[in-house]
Amino acid sequence: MMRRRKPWWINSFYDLPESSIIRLKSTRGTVGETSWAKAWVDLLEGAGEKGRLSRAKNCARKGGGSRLRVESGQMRIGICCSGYTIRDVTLLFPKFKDDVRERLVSIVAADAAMTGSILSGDFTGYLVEELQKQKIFLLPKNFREIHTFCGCGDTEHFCIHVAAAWYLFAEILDEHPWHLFTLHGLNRDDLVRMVRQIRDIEGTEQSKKSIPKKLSPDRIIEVPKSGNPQGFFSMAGDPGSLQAGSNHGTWTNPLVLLGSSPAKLGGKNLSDRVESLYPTIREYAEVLLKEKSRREQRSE
Amino acid sequence: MVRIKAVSPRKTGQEVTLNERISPRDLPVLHAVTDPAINAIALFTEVHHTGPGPLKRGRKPGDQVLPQYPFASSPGELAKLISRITGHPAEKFRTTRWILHLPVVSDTPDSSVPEDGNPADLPGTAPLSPFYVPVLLCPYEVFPDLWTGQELLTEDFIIGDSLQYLFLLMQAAGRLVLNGQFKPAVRKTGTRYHASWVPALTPGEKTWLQQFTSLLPPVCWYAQHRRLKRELVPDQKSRVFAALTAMMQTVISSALLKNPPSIRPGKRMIETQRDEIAFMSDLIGTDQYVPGHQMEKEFVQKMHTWLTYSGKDQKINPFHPCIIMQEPAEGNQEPWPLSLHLRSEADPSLIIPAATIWELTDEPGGLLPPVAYLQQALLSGLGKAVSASPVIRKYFTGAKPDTGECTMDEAATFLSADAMAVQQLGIDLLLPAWWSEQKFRPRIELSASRRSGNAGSSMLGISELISFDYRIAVGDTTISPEEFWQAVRLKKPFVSVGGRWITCDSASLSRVLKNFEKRYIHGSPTAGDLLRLSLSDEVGPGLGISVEPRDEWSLDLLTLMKSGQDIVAPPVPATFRGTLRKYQVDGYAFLLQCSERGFGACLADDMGLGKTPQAIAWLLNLKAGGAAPAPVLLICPMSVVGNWEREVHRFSPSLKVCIHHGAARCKGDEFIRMVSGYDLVLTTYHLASRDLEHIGQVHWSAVILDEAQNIKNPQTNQAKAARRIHADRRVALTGTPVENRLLELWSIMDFLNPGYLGTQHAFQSLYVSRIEQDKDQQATSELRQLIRPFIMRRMKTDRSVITDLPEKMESRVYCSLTHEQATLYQAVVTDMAESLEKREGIARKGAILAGITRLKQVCNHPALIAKDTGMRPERSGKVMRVLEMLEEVSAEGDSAIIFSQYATFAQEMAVICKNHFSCPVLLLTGSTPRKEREKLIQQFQSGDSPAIFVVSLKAGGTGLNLTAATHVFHIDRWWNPAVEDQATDRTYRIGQKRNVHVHLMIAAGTLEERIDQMNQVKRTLAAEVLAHGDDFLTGLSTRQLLEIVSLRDSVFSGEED
Repeated sequence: MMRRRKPWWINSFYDLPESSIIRLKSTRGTVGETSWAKAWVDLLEGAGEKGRLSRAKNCARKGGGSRLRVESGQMRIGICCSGYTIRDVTLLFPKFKDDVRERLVSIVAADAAMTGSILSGDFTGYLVEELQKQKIFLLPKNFREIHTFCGCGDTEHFCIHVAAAWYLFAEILDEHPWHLFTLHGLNRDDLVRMVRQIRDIEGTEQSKKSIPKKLSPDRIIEVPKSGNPQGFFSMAGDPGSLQAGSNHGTWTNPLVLLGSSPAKLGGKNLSDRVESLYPTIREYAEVLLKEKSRREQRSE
Repeated sequence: MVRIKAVSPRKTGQEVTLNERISPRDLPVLHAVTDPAINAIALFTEVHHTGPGPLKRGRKPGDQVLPQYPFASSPGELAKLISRITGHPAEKFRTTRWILHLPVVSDTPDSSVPEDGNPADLPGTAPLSPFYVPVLLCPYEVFPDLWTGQELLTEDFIIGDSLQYLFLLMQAAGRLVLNGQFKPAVRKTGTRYHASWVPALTPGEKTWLQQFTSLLPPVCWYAQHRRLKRELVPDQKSRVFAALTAMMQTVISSALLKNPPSIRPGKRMIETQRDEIAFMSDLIGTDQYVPGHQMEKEFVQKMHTWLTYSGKDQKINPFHPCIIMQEPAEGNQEPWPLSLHLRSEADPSLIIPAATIWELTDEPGGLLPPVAYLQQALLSGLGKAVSASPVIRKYFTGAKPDTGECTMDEAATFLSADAMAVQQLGIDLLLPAWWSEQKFRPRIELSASRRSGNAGSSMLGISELISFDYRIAVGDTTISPEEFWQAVRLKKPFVSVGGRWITCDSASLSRVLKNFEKRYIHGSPTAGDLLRLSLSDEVGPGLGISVEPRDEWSLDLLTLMKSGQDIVAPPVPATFRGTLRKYQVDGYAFLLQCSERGFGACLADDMGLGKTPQAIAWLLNLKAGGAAPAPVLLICPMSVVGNWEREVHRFSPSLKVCIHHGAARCKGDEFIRMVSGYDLVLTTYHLASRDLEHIGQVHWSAVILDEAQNIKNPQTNQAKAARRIHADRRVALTGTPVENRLLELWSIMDFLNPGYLGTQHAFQSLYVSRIEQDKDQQATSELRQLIRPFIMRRMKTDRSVITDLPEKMESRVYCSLTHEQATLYQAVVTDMAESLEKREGIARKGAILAGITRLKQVCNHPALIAKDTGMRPERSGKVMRVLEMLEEVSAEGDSAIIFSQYATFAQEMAVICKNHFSCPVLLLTGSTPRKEREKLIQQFQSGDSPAIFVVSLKAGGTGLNLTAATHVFHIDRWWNPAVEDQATDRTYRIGQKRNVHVHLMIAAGTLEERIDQMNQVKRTLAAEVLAHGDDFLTGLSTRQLLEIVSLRDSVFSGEED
């Protein structure tokens, strides 16, 4: 049979460069490494028709996917099972409503581990499970929650193309789990911002701080109109129990924490240069304190 | 005694009035206030009159001019006093006036000195109004001196709480500097940038500062150095922090002023690195290197970013979450406290509890990086950890988790299952020491003693019964087995033993312990078990072991096990003729040391190192000690029986030797009677198994196996027979204890020390498969340790041996004739006698020479005479012996040369060697073309692998250089020793770096032996002069000749059938 060449806007698999072909990494057995990807695949395999599923898996393994787009609320992918025509498959996800979204943010912010996942970008199964416990489902409870569209004529609910897209998406979730938030209409950056706000953590990516005029900017208060005359000239408690700097032996060198400085002087890092001043200073302080306690003892 | 105390007259009024010397009415009170804008402390004095005068207002009523504080006095006198105390000139102290906000009760401002009356009468609140107070400004740099000279003030003043507060702050500043809690910072003043020091407080110190700030007397709260339109003042925290900073800076700068460090910048540095130098100069407080230089903004910005951890791409030394698990409080089983912390990678000793991190705020003067960074580090670590560990998930939930208390089972799961995974996520775990450290594993402390006590000196050796006692030790404490069993029976994952926690897989531990008890405590453990246990670290998974001797006998045994073969050698018996080399004395001592204790010993020296004399010396020692009334049995291959007989005669003629061999050998009772008259009975492996019935009845004082590799296969009859012979001592001699398989070693060791290496099956699974297949280093060293006391192996290349060896060693190897050879030999002799009768003159000489040649050929191989094609090596005792020796040579990786005077035999020998060995066999005879000859020599000399070179004596006896060989075999004898020497010198020449071993093969009891004896005499008399060889023989009378050539030996191999 003569092969028909079609212009690119007519879906032709042959027009695709190799680099834009998406295929499954798994070459045998199950698809999906992470717990959420496996759960995703389970939804499909619990409902789909066996023959189509195995053909779909085969198609996905052979590299039938292309043109992936993940947007807020939907995922589109081109699937070619015949080796020629590409069918565009769309999976529509239900977006979180505003109240669910707020609840999600507050749940995340109230749990240190979840906050950590969100802030650091390490997606964990814990996040999915804990949210599930709170009735927020990142993965659909039922395959019917996902509306699927495919242009093929198959009347079976999971046609080969949708099933192949489903398999391919499982591996995409392995690598980019944050898509689960995007598909529910949540942007991870927004999420991070909101969580930070609730937990009152500034972003670590601060802008450059300007050099202060004073070492410690004063906090200003207004002199009140009245005060308590009792004990106005006295300390409000016994200072004897309060002593600073009693942690001898476990000194944390501030310069070790600061690490090496951006400047060098004579081949030596400024950090090391500054550090070399410490012993002299500390010795002097010791002499001073000894002198003081000696005089105190004498006067007693 | 008068106690000078910081007084707050109102509060401590009672105390002060009791104190007679200080009357609040007499002495003025000294107060101090600060304002962050001024780099000095403002001091003012308060004098109490009987009543305050009228408030002095401004000149015009309603004017904004403030009233003067009525109790204040002029600080003029104070300046002089302070100048006297601190030693600073009085001009340094400026007088001015500050504004204080004081509560006004019934038109009178508050005073620190109590009025007559009850202080409780004062109202709860009163309006605050500003007053001018005349103050003396004391710069911060003077303040440390005032602080140290504080008590001098008390003579003239009462020190008010506000000043006392600053003194305490000064003390704190000193301590913080001592602790190094400060770091550099940069700031901008006007258009210039400066570097200076600021406090770097840990979270703990920040809490202290907060608490300390709350003590600040209210009089200091609103002090102002000048009047502002709106009454805006810095808060208390800013005041205290500014004062603390200034005090610390004072201490630091006076330290650097007193001991100025030098940065000694070079000329180029001053030109190119002015910013950096200015930064350092600012910190040190000097202006000498780059006077007047202004730091560039970019540089300062860079430094500021670094110093405040604030850059976008600033790499902060990372902090990791850290989970600490502790043991439950003493005496309790649960709970196990868990806590979450943050730990710095740069300084691992800095561990900050999570609770602190959650509450941390970004304030100036902190040691740590920004809170956001720290919190995020903790959060993200936790985010990862929860998915790895259910225990963490359970206890570290909620918005700000910090501690948890888990059950013992959870702790066990966490420690055993989760810990690894959590650590791999980059989370530090600080676990109890006993978890990770080996020394806290339970171990058995075993003490051993001989069951029969010290008195007996039986020769049971390895099967000597031992009694064991044991306790269980954990760390330094030991407990009795009963207590330990109790703990194990609790079936908890951790048990507390003697105040220490140990992990305890109770199922496996009780199994291991039960097995141990069954085998060693209730069973009958032997010396072999003791030795094995002393070498092992553990008796099973999770249970270590250490062995202590309880009596001298076991101490001696364990020392032997540890020290191995470094022992003092007893003197060699005087009856031994000859001298042993140093290493041979060691070997003799080793044999003695093992046999004295009843252990079997294996002497595994390389061929040619003299195992025979060592064994003979040992035999003599046995006999001399009277310990050997019974005879000794020596089993060896047929081919060396003759050799042994001769060696024994040579080294100890006093020993009575009998050879159990031949068809006419004694049997049954006759045998037992016969052997009792001898010291040493020689027999072959073959006969030992055939005649086991008789041999086994005798109780030998010792049995020696020469060439013990003959019993390498434990299934063979001879190996089985050797094991069944009763003997007090067992010795094995071999040059190759392991030829091919490790099992050969087991077989020899099992003969020497039955049961020591376990059953064959156990040995196979424990060592053979691990060493031979898996190349397990640990198993190898374990086995080596185990056999070390009982096997002595020395190689010619050993440093200790090589210095003892001469460069050329010559040994005579006596080979027995086979039955066929003997018959043939006898036939030739008879034939020769007959023919000599008939001939005279030249013909007679010819007949003699022909006869002798035939005899020599018979000694080499009977096929040479019979002219048949069956050149089987078994037909010649000599060839068999050469092959055996060549096997050892090639096992050592050495090359050998075989010289024969018969070219035909040389050819046959080469063929036999080729069939026998895989290494290259070269042949050189007179018919070899010259080119070929060169090639062969080249091949032999350059070969890395061992090779055998068969050379016809006439063709290769001279002019060759064959230094690659270290073994030379003279397979038949030349009449002239000089020719032999010359041939030997092919290998022993310049260029030979190794020792050369010369083996002279002699057929025992034949004319070869006789000629050899004569040659030895020749050599000693007049070495090379005697070149007449054959003439000497041909000149003899028939009777004399027959005397020489007749067969003397009666031992022939293959005769036992």
